[in-house]
Amino acid sequence: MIRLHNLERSYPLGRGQLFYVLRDIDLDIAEGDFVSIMGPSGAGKSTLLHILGMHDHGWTGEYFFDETAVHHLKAKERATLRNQQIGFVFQQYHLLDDLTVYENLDIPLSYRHYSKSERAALVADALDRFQIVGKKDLYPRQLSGGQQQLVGVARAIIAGPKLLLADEPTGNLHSSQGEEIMELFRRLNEEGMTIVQVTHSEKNASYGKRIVQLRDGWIV
Amino acid sequence: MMNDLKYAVRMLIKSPAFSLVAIVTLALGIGANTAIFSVVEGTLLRPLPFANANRLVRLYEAADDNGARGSTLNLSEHTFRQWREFGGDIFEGVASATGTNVTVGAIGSNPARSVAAARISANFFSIVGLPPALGRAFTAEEDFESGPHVVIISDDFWRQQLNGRADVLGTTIAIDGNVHTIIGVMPKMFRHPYRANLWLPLALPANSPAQATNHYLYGIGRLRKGLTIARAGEAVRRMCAAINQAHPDPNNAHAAYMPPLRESFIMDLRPKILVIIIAALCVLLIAAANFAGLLLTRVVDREGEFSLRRALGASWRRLVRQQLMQGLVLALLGTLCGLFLASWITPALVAMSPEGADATGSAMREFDYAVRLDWPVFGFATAVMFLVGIGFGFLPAIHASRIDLRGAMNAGSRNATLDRSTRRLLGSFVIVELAVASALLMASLTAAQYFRKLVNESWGFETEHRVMFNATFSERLFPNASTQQQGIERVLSELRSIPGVTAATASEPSPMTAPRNLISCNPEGAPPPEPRGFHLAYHRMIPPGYFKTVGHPLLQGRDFTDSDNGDSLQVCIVSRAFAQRFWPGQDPIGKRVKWGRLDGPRPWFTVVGVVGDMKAIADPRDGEVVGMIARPLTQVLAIASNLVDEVTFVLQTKNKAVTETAIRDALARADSRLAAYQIISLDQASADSRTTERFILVLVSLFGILGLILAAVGLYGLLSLQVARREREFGIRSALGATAAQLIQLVSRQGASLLGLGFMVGAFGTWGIIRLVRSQWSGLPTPNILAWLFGAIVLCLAAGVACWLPARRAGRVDPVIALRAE
Ligand SMILES: Nc1ncnc2c1ncn2[C@@H]1O[C@H](COP(=O)(O)OP(=O)(O)O)[C@@H](O)[C@H]1O
Ligand SMILES: [Mg+2]
Repeated sequence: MIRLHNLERSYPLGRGQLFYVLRDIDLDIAEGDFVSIMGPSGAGKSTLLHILGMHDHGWTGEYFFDETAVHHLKAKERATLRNQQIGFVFQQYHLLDDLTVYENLDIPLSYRHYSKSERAALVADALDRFQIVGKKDLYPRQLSGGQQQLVGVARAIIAGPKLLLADEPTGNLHSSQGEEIMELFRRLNEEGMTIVQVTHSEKNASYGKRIVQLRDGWIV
Repeated sequence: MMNDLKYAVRMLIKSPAFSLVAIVTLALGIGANTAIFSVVEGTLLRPLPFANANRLVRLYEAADDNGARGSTLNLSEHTFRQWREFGGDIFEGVASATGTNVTVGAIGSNPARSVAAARISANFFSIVGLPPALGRAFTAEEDFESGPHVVIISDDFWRQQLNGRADVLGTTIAIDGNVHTIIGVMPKMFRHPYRANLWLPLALPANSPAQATNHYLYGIGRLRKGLTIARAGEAVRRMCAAINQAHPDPNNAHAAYMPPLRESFIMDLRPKILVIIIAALCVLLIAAANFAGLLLTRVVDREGEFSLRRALGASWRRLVRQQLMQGLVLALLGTLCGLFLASWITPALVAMSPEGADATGSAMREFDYAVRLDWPVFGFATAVMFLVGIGFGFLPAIHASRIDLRGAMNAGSRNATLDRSTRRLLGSFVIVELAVASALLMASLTAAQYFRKLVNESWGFETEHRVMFNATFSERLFPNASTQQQGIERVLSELRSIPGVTAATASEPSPMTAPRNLISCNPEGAPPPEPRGFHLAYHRMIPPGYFKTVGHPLLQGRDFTDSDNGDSLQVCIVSRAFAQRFWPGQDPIGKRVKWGRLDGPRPWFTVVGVVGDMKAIADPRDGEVVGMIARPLTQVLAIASNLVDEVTFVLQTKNKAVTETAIRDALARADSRLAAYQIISLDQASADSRTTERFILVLVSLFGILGLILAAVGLYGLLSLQVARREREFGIRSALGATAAQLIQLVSRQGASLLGLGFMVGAFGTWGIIRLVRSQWSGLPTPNILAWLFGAIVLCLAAGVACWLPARRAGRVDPVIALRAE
């Protein structure tokens, strides 16, 4: 489903020098895979995830998503592809504080072509599926961290992506809450969702099917 | 303390944009307000320089008992004499004056020129309580028809015409051909009344029954100590009744209308000044809201830091002190810049302020007209800003105490958006600003429309290709009617011989100042208004051909001819409004108009023609004026005992090539003793009319523009803050699929809803202000749909610019950066 070839990402260091965050990345991820990216802080894990998620486009090399050559896409086409195929979960949940749970779930739908009734139906489905119907009118700060991340995951998949990207989704959670999220990921993966997660914990990584180790920008 | 100061300065330097906007806001709010008010104060409101000015009253006489303003007139000689004689219990003294222009002969290298002068009763300066700075005032012996030729000069005249020579007292100047001895010099910057540079004795003739209904005297009374105006009014009424009993005469006044002197100068300007004050308060409000918003922004920005400091043990006292210091340093800098701005704008505005008196009757620039900063207003504006600065110093204390300390320690839990109450507070600031700005804008637009209408209203005759000037045919040069008549004709024939001049005519008064001459009259068949017994109309004396030369349409009947002279029937031409009012549906030609009261000794005039109406720039104190009566100059001079004094000549020209020199030369050829003054094209004179109102319009517009700018800055500040604070939110939205356009829309929509709300509140505000001002100024125009529309568009444009910059920034938020873990 995803094929990266010779992908490199660098930032200018000043005085014409470049700082390479990612070097010569070759990576294949099949449909239905569940990959855990591990590595020390600053290794480039988040950077890689943002590239996969098509937020970042300042890289060189080749990136094929299914049959599409992402490296040839224009910004608009990339955005369309991303909106259709990819969902995001963040370490800090990144829920919008002054929107209710319901409204937070509705955001991704509002940026895609859904009718009002479709949106309402999809949000209702998600609330149901994640068993947070009772919380739909609460604000994020009224929820525990685990519940917030639950909403975060629900929001990531509500528009039906094929690929779920998660950057340390349990990083801010107690271990029991973290387990809950990991169980959720496993179930999603079993239902056919391709998942790429960044994690520091061996335990979380064990939920995945394979591990990619990053060190100083290199896959090792 | 020193540390806090240093810290505050460092913080301000660290965020230059914030500091700059805050300082500019303050400088504009304080500076412009002070400047504009300084001008208003200096030109309109400055206290009179007279001793015990609170006891000075302006005197008008009323022909009915209640002395209401509408039916009051300036004093006639008759009334002035009576009140001076019998008013001793009420007034310490009664003085009067009249304005004129005199020709001053050549002094050294200064050529002969026309100078504004006032003829004053001998007691004038002692009544107002301002003695000459040099020399003495007139004595009663000098105030006689054939008294000695003495003159008092203004400080300006002394310095400019006589080079300020020290031995000025006792020297002589030629005035209208007669040698006058200078006996006094008035203090600096005193030109009252009639913006005079020379004062001559009033020298009323011993008895002049012809002047009994000529209400031309500007009267001033000084009330006896302890007498209120109300009680004085009662006393005058009793005095009038007593006079009437002893000497019954229809020309006797029945009561006095006595506003305080200073009040009488600004009475008619008051509603307009009220407009300026409201506009100024609006701008101050906008600036204060802006400053408050900026400080609030600042507090919100550093909320995290505050709570962290609090958590680390800083006392709230300290936090408050820091924030306070910052507000105060800003207020101080803003005030200094404001002061600088004010001292820079004020002279520029004063230079723009009108010099000449106009129909509003203000005494602009007659007293102590030097430019000065208005410290009370400056103090007020500054105090407001310091209060805002101090008030918002306490905000972090309130805020910090509300912040959840545990949360603050957790760097990750920084709010993605502004918290609701802060946002609401900021939003309401901006709404207030926009509301006030839109009200202000609407008011200025309406004022602009109103003044434009006033100024652009057709005169009823043509002003293009016409030049006019004045010349004084004083009695001293032209002792009788036939010499005056011949003098005027000589001038006219010389003028007609100037190349480029197609026609020349004369008029008394000038075509544009008809209101200065009123005639009492009774049209045939109309009942006289009681108790006055006569109507008032504008009066004009003209030679044949006047109407044709100035392009004033003759609608019915005929123009005057040379055979309308002293031997023929006394005739007149009336304006259309006059004819329609008194003889509706009838042929006005052949109707008659009685001059003065029906039972009076004056003649009847037969109407021979009807001309179009002319624009009335009426002095509101004259009461209702029913139209115009024109009479043939030749006939008036031949029959009436009174001579003309100042004659206005009008030239119709093919092009503008007729120079002042050509005019002066022609006049010199006609009579070397005559001087042409106030040479001006009718177009220019038209533009110069309503100068006071035009000036007020400029001031109100300035406030409008200022308010708009400040409100736009406020909106920009709020949206910028929001965008900065919501960067993470935009990042999240972008990560969840929002396009740049959608993010821009998000910000703009917020701006638009603030704008909409602001505009709505502003509309209600405008409505309220109009009602408020209406109660003072019934002629107040109301905004029409065009003003609303235009105001909305201008506001939208300004708000659009203010929105666009932050919105564009929102659209450019990079989710990778915005969402990076901290
Ligand atoms: N915008 C940027 N400019 C410069 N350096 C960056 C930028 N973003 C990330 N980096 C650097 O790239 C490296 C990798 O970052 P990141 O992918 O966030 O690491 P990880 O998620 O593995 O901890 C870090 O050294 C970081 O400082
Ligand atoms: Mg990371």
